[in-house]
Order: sequence, then structure tokens, then C-alpha cells
Amino acid sequence: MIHGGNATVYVSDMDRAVDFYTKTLGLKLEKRFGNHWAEVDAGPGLTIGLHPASDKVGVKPGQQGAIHIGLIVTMSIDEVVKTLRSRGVAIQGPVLDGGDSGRFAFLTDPDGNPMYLHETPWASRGAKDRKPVEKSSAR
Amino acid sequence: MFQGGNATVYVRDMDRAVAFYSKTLGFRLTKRFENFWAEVDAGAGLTIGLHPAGHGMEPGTKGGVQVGLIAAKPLEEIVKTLTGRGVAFEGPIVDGGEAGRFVSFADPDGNPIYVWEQTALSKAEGREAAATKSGAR
Repeated sequence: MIHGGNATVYVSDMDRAVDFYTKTLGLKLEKRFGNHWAEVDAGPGLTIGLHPASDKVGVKPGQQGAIHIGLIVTMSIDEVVKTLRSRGVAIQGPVLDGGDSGRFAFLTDPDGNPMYLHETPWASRGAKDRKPVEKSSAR
Repeated sequence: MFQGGNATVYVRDMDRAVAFYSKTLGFRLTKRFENFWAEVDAGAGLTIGLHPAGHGMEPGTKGGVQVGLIAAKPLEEIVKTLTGRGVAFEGPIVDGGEAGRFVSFADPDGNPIYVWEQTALSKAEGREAAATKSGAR
């Protein structure tokens, strides 16, 4: 139903954030799609996703919700939402269509900690079609 | 400098949280140290750590989810290197006894990150997780 994901950190300046996580902390930049999204590999068990803060997501960097757990669904997000609802999970609002970036649904754990489900378009079409814009390997 | 990590979620009730992440979401419980710490494997790229709230970390608020990085060298060396790169640490290194040592800082936006220097015990998987290894999926 779900396989893998990342800790998504919302930031105010993508270049500054990518610099910090790669050059300052020495982690490896895995993906960068312009100023829309970047992924940093922190080693076993942790991928850090960087996303610009926006009113659409409703989170501000350094505030509550500025770090979300992102979960990648392995089937239709509608099915996953249906299954989780049947298990008593409150999904916030409808499934959001992010166009090229896929579809998303937001929820919280029993303590109100924020997470989201992500149906990636590249999972079905093949991730190799979408090459990262730039790569670095500061380690 | 680092060798992996997890997204740490602070929770009010460990049993309720473990049930949610393992049974409701279907992730495999890989570690459980009673009510001190649990880890679930969410698949490629993501381990979720569960920790009881306290020490200023309140569930569902800023700091309720943190990036946790595992130290690959002594914390003093990491603090020295990162301080040299302009990182401001929040307080001294905290000795958590059997759990290991910890030090905290923030990214340029103020998002919370901590570094964990593990002990042999905290690297192990904990009894309950070993017992339930077949797990709910």
C-alpha cells in the first residue's frame, strides 16, 4: 500500500536549503527539480525532501508542520485513502492533483503530527524518464 | 560524518502510536525499547522513529517532527566541523545514558534537526520488536 518516503522539510529559499543540507551537512543531493523539489540522501533510513513553503501547503518554515512525513503509495491514492478511512484515519480534504508532480492527500497521526500520501507519476511511467536537473556529490 | 537517520515523531502514547504506524499504516516495527523509543521501517528511504513527548517536544506542534541524523564519528568532532561551517547548536551535548548522546541544531529556516551518537544498545532492535518481527503488514 505504501513503500518508502521521506521527511519533507519546507524551506523559504531552495538554493540556501540545498546548500545547507549538501555542503554544510555533507549529505548527497539525489534529485533537484528546479525550485519545486529536491531530495537529499542522508544514508540508511532517511531521505530528506526539500520543498518551498507556500500558501497552498499552508506551512511556514520553522513552524508547526514545517517537517512532514511523506509516504509514497504503491497503488491508486484513492484506494489508499479509502483503506485508511476504513481504519479510522481522518484524511484532510480531497485528493489534490499536483499535475506533473502527482497526486497528494494530507493526514495526521493520532497526535496531530502531519503527513501526506504521494502518488508519483514517475512510479508508473518510470523514474528514469525524469532526470534530475542537477546533481552534486558533496559528502 | 553521518550514517543515516530517521524522521522522529513525538507522541503522547507510545502504544497508540506504534499501533497506528504498524497496524493502521502497515509498516514493520523494527525496534521497540518499551516506552522510550520505537522504529518502523516505511520502506525505501524512510525510517520513522517514535519517541514520547517531553523535554519541550510536543506532539502536533513545531518540533513534533524532527530530522534525526546518526553520527558516524564522535559528536565533539561533528560539532566542531559544523560550528566551523556556521551552524549554531542549541545547547550542549546531552548524555542520554544507555540511549547514547545527542546534540541539536536547526537548519537556516529554523527547522529542528538532532544528531544521535548511538550506543551498542541503541543500535540493537529491542525485545518487543524482535518478538513481533513477522509484523502487521
